[in-house]
Amino acid sequence: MATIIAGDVGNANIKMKSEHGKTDFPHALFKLTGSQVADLETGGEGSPNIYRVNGVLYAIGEQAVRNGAGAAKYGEERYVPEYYGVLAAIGLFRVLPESAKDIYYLGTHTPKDNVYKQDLIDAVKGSWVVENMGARRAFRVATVVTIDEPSAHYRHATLYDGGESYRGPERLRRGTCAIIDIGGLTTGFASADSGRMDYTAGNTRVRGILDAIWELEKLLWQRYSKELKGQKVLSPIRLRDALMDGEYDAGGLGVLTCAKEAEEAGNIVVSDVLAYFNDYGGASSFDSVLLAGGGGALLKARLMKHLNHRAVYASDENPDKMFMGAALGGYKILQALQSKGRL
Amino acid sequence: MSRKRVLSQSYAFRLSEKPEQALAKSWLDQYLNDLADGETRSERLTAFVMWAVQQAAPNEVHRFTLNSEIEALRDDLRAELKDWVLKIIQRTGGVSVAGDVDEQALANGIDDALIDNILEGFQVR
Repeated sequence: MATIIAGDVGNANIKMKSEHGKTDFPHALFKLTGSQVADLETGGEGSPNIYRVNGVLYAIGEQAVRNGAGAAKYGEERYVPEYYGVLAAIGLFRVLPESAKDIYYLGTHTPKDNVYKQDLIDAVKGSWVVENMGARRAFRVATVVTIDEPSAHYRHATLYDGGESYRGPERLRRGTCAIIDIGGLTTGFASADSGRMDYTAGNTRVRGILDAIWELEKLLWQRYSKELKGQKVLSPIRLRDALMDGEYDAGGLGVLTCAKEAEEAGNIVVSDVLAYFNDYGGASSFDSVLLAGGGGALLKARLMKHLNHRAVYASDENPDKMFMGAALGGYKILQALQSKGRL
Repeated sequence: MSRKRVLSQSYAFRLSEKPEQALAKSWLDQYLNDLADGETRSERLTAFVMWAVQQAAPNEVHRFTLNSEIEALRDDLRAELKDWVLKIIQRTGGVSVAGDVDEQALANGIDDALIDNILEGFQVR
């Protein structure tokens, strides 16, 4: 039986799910230079964030960002073996405890990237050897399929773990449902009618939660220029919290109140979502609205206030898990196919 | 024991951990029968209902009058409880409620139409 894996290589984080568990790590990849490789080879076992993939050394996450600008690729330019493929292979290493020969991989993408499906497939299909901290595993990705992220989120919200039965409010599955998936740099829209995704109705706005976070960072620097003097960066995680709470925890500098700035920054995304939702049909066209993605969790309260709809649902009971929804939903999709012998 | 005390002390931890468990078909029965020392069944029902309402509309709990509905609940009304909770959800709108298990759908399992729709998604270009 094939080893099934679902991966969501998003603009902010890489998320992956297997039967052994799930992983997420910040989206950034840096191919180490000759001198960095030499330093590493004299330094012993290496770092948890340094991986050798098919013989080439890479840094991931913040370690990659520290190594140079441009470490992260965005949008469709990611769908190449040396980027998406390498990040997916590292994800495989993190969710599979042993080598695997027959991997069936589902990759998610934003709706506008339907036209780049084949690039995504070509980027990850094939053989990968991954080494990290003295461990080595070989993977053969035999089959790759793709689906848009809002569809995967919808399946996460409406399928029970195992993919063999339905879950969640009936309203999500019986009527027309608008899915709003707010990711790092994009917001995906899709719709489902009586549980069936309408794949022709998907669309993408190039506006995501990172736009709000970067705007909040800029506004904080403006308001607290004296207090923050000498600081190099603001923590992305604390900025996310500040977007929800209206308070930035500046550690030893204390708590910086920023309710007005958080409102202003969040509105960049909220206003865009609302404008497009109204163009998409608005509240009267849908029996329910499903909010998904990490941005959906961060902006849920504000969107619920402004969407003007009485049946707005979150894609996961736990807001902290909403950002994983596409990978979890993709995995349930594969489980559903496997359970029916259709994989 | 007042309702407020029930919620703030006895159940706070259990309520916060329940969403995953709530999806199991037998969860509600188990939850309602698993009484703590000195706890009455009515208190347990009250806690469940309060939890459900908080899930349904966390920003609107303070505007929602529960007293009459809670008083109307008796232990032998347990079978109707989920429908009742769903009515609250429909009335208030709000976010997903982990406890609204669709037992019929659980019993039936997924259908071929779902599989066909998933496979159709793989083909879209």
